[in-house]
Amino acid sequence: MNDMRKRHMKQIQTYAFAVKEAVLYLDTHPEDKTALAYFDKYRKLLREATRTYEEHYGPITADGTDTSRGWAWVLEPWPWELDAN
Amino acid sequence: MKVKSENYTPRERVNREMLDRMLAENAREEAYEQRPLPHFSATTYPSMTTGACPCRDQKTYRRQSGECHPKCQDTREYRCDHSADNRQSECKKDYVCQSPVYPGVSLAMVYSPCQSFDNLYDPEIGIDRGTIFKELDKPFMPTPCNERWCR
Repeated sequence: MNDMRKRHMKQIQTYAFAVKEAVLYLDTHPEDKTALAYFDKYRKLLREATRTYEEHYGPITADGTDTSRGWAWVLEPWPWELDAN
Repeated sequence: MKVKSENYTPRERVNREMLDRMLAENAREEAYEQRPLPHFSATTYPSMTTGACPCRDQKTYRRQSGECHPKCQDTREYRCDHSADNRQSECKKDYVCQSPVYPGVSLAMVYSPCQSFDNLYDPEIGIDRGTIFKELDKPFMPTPCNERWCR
């Protein structure tokens, strides 16, 4: 996996983490406006980062597959194929 | 599931019956705290020179008239001392019983202050620390063992 791709993936993981934290907080503070805004912001960033990553490098999850060329999901390296990942 | 805006705190979600039971329990505990204390004297409890102090929460222990420590002439107030160098319970005038941690705060109850959505790390740091909340960043730092405390 090249450097650019790694950095992009790291960015996605960072946004996903922020979203997860906001979710846990909001579960106990459902009316907190600051937290809701934070959640909206990072969810949006997460979705965009995921979309652009998947456009360039292929699907991260099976439902992110672009089906215009068939089931590309199984054409990607499997997680244990470390050299390719 | 939609959350009703008028009952979103844990307290508000507790139904009336349960709340009444909890309040009754609190009242019983309060009454127990205020109960009159038994006598302590060197003749009845010889181990009191090194044992627990009968005073709690900065209240003084008032002896009923009658028994008193043999050395003590003053029968008005029996105070105890929790200082490190003197753990004896004797009739002394200026010692006051201290709750070890927070004076006035009831023992054996859990306090959970409400968290607020501030003091946040940037997400890049947060993912590294395991939390985006600075106040929850409490790494475990075991101290080295010394002879006395390791058994």
